[in-house]
Amino acid sequence: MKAVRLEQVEKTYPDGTRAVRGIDLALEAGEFVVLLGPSGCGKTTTLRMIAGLELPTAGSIRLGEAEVTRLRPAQRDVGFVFQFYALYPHMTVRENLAFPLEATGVARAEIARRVDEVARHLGLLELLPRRPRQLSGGDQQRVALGRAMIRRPAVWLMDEPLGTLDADLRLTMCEFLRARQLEERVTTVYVTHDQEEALRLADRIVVMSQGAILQAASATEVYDRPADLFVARFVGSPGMNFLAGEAHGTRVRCGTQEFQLARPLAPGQVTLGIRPESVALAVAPEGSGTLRGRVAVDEYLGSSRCLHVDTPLGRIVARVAPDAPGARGEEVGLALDGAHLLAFDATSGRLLA
Amino acid sequence: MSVLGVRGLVKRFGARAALDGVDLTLGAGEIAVVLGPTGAGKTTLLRTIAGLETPDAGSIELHGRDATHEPPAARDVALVFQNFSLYPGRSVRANLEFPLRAPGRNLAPAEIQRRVQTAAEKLAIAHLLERDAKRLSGGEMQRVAIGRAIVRQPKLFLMDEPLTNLDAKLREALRVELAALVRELGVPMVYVTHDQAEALSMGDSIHVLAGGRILQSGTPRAVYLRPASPAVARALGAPPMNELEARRDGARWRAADGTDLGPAPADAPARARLGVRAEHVAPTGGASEAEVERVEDAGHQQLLVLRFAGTRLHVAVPRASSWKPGDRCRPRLAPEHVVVW
Repeated sequence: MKAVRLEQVEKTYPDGTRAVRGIDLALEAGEFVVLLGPSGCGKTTTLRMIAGLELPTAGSIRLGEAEVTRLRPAQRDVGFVFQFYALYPHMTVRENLAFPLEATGVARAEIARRVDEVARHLGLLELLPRRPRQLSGGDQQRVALGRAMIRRPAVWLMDEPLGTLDADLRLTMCEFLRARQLEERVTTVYVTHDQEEALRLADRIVVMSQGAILQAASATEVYDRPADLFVARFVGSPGMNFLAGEAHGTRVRCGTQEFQLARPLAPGQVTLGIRPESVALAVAPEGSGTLRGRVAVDEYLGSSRCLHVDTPLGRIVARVAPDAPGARGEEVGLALDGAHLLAFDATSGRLLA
Repeated sequence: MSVLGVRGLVKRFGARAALDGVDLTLGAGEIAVVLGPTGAGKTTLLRTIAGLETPDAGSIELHGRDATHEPPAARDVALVFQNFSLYPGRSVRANLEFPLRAPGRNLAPAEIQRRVQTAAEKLAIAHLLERDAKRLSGGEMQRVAIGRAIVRQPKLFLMDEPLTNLDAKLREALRVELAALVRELGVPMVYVTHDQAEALSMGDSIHVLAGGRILQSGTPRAVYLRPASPAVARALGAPPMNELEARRDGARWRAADGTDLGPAPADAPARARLGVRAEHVAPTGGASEAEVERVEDAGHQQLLVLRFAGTRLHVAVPRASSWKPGDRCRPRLAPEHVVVW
């Protein structure tokens, strides 16, 4: 039995907009799934339908054995937290945190213990006597997160819960959230447009675009074998590099360059893809797999640098060591690691090999 | 000569000092990034430089002249805000022309036309010129907002988190474009952000601001590799720098539980906090044992979260490593990259 199962779920608004186009998705109990995609891809609508805040126009949603497609939110055993926190303004932080437990009849001493525990982890202990309007946006966000996590429902639903937090707090919260989820084994659906967060948290990443699921797989799979060009570009920071070419067996010709693939392809137009970390600075003279170009942008990122190089085959980004050569304006040679070249169908964008 | 010299700037709102003695110098064609969390004073700093706030103390020098008490219009600076404030119902062209049609500008129509066209081409929005501003995507709106700053050909750009409201993916592409464009125009810029990747990527210099004070100023490399304090270390880098409490035992650093943390310099203090970046720790080759608690996929690399010396230690390793939770290892902190506080 799956903890959450969506079958052919559709959402079409009265104005004809198809926000979600018949998606299928099943979660194992205790699984942490991240819905990832740009604004307007349908990820939030999907989450809201699981929560019961929106009703699908077709398809079915099951939580465990229960069919919940048309049930109200309160009739589903879900806990949710959204980017735009909704705290009870007349209650203190302690009362806000305790509220979900009081409604379920947990003993008073146990409530106090759990509130203290969550507050300690989220750094909210000193704020317990305050009211929401006395808190900053980031603090309110943490209270909202704490309130959702104090109860152990069948499913946690989270829509960019860390969206308004500052970077260092965000990372701490991320780690706390994941540790807590692993401990409680609560099945979780988490929505974000931030792929680093997705990579860090997810057992499985579901990449969405235009209301459809493009790929649902482990972080490694999505990163190494993206199902299509959109996923390849969207996942990874920066995304994958692309080169237009023509396949002849295991060889692909791109302009004056030729690249060798591990597996043969049917003849035709392809798009080659390669991650920035698989592009190295080359000292060898121009030849097979070596491209020359001028560094347009030299981006220092602390643990690495990204050189954005304009080549005859378009702009290629190479991730190099912080102290590697190659400054803005300089000409450099690039070597593309054939073992990490992927080929996509030029027309459909689907991964070929 | 510096383009901008901010000295001892203080701005109070009631009893609270939003700026508490800020110094900032910017050279010709440079990009200075002010990095700080919400409430650090970033926006107040920009507004004070622009002349929208009057400082309580300190001075602002623009191109060698004292501009502390000049009205905003006399300063020739262009501000871009987080919330793209365009005129809805007006075309992109009208929005771009607006600052050029301000009273007193007296630009010839042909010159206005030329500037709008050039800016639109540089920002890749030339095909949107006749479109209504309310029909633009978020990314397009922010390009237009930046375009409105560019057409004025100011002496200084002041940008207040202009990319914050955009999708992560778009933000990443635009930060590269924006820095390249500003460098090409040769106009210096003070760029305010809470995004550490933007700060490292875009800045010629980074100024870490917290509680109205600059904690450290320097090149991105200097601030990233030698953060002056744990607070600075926490502001930059993902994951943040590892921090370990240590005492010196002869020529070695030791944690409270006795764990050997590696060699200590002869002149090191008896007690210190050590900082070391994840990429400067190797999972093997050290003196003391640790356990792998988690292995995180972080895109181009993996992060090991180790249980070590009574705390957690992040270690960056190449992708597709064979490490798994429960493994034992002996982390080695590269001594040349250990920062002692």
